[in-house]
Amino acid sequence: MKVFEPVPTSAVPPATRKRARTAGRKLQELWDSRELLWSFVVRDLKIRYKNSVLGFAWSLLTPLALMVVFTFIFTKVFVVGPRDFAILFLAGYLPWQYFANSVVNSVAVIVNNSDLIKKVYFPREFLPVATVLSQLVHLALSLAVLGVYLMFKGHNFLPYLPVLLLAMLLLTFFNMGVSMVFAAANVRFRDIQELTPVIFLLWFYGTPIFYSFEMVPAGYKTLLLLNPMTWYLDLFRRVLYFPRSPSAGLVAVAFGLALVSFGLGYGVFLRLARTFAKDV
Amino acid sequence: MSRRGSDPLKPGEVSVNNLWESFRIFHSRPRGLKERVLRFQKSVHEDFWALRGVNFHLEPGESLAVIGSNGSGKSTLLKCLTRILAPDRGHVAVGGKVATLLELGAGFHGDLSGRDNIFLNGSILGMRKKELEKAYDAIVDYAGVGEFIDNPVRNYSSGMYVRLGFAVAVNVDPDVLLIDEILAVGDASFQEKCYEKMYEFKRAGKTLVLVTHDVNAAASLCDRAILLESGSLVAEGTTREVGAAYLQRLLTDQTGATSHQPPDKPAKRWGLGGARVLSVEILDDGGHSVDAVALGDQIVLRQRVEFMKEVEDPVFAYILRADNGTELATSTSLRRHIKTGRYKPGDVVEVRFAQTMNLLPGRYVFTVMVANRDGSRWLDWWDDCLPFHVLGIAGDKGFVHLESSMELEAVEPASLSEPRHPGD
Repeated sequence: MKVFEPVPTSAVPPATRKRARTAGRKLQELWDSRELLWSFVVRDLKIRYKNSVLGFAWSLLTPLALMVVFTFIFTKVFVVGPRDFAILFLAGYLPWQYFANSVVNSVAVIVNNSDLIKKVYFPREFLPVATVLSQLVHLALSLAVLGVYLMFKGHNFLPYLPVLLLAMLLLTFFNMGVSMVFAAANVRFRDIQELTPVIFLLWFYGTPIFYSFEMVPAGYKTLLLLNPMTWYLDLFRRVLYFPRSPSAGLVAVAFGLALVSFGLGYGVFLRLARTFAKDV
Repeated sequence: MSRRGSDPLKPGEVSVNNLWESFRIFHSRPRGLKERVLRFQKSVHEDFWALRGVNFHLEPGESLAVIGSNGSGKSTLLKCLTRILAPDRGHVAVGGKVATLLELGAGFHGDLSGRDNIFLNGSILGMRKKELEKAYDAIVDYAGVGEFIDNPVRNYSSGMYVRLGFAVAVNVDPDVLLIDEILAVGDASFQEKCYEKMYEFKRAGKTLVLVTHDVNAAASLCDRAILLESGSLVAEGTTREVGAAYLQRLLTDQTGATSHQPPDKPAKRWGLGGARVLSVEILDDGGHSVDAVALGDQIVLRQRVEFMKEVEDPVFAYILRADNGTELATSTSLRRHIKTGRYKPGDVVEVRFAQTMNLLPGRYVFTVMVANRDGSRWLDWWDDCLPFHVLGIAGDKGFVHLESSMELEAVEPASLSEPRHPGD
């Protein structure tokens, strides 16, 4: 038996840097645990619709109701603004809901799963990412309903379907980045989960959703361009409202925003995730 | 020989290199932004190092016991191995898949059915869907949930809930299995299953790390052990050596300069008065006061009792209890029909019980008492006043050493037709 002197409590730990895991290993890990990500998404969806008679029909009913109400209001009651205002609104509102719900539902996802975080290791980013993906399912269903309505109204957007899918993909990566930052920051500052709904309420009015970009006075347009959601909603409206091809510049900006958001968000998240088990 | 963390390890290999892990102790924790902004300062905290420079290396197939008292950093070490905690300094590398056995029901959701939870919980523990599908029937069967499998688990009884969690957990098939305090979880049948699973892993040549303060459990399962003390590694060797070193340290820590006057705890001491136990001690065969004995030692339990009023033939007695409260033995002067004598106020008597300590290694405690002549009234009852250890490492379960022996003899089939009981 070897016996060692205990390290004195006054001893100072060596100032070595933490060794970063290589990107290759991280990817390997994500690939190995891909089934878990799927399980989390399924869990989110099942929990939401458990004990409800209509189940998934609920996520179709909301856009349907909105569509009926807005069509009525803007064609019979309040006949101003651009043509087909209901479609203009929904083409912006549905992606906005996707973004807002992703972040608002992600913000407390680490804190609420503290038991899991403290007991078992798994890639922590799966929690916010699964939240975003389950919201993506809702977006897809809502857009399907809107698509049927568009075809019925004679808007043939099908040639632009690939652009729509690209828009969904880019917005998904943007959402993941923002959701990860909010979820990780909320572990240190629990105020953030109270603050988030307020932020998104203000952000809602600062985004061209129930108005269009063109309706805004020139002086404020620059301000609106600083809002990433302005670009994404523009991309969705090109397909669903006009429909026409987006400019290469617009796609490039949407792509750039997704890249920056996801890259920064993931980086920040992984950095803070090191101490989640101690802080939750 | 320090290993580089980026070297690929063989499956089942474990390498821990100069591992330091700290926790923040907040003196006043600013929970929110407001406090932090208003105070213009960072939170007031101290770093507490739960692990200080721990090193060890395991080859595939080795089994290691991590021994230490509460707060020594054992569980923190385990959490670093599972990657729940990231090392603050140094590094930890585990080759292949790592899993813990006893995270029962991690991620169970009350609103989901048993079936959904099996798959969710399984994938959280790192199992593949295919493996779970294969094990599914066995899991449902073991859990005994039957037709409830499609009901939400919040409707399950707590027994069903735990069994379901356990039935999933035993299906893990990692290269390195980690176990935290096996004996602390579940009932006897669980523990048996856990042991079964661990032996199965050991036989299959998998690496095993068992965290425990139960030296006997460690010795029965692990070949090697390390001893942690306040986060430092202080001994490394065979489980028997390290286990013995641990018990020895435990004793010197607890008793210091062997004072045998335990602090008076009013709640555990009561009686009518008239007599009072002044001191209780264990004396070894040399007459020295000790607080640890070995199996089979001859000892004397010595009490000194003072009388405050006149008492005739008082009863002196003790109760020996195991650490878990089980009463193992009693001895009284009443049963022995000893005339103990007549005492006046101010008299002091020394009572000596001679004993052979046929006890298995572990922690025990004496309770002593003085009663009136027929034992109907307690004058002084001093509960759990003298704890002591029996040293050594035993693979046997229980408390008592009965000096049993065993014989084998072949039996002729013809003799079996004879009546089994003499009275038949």
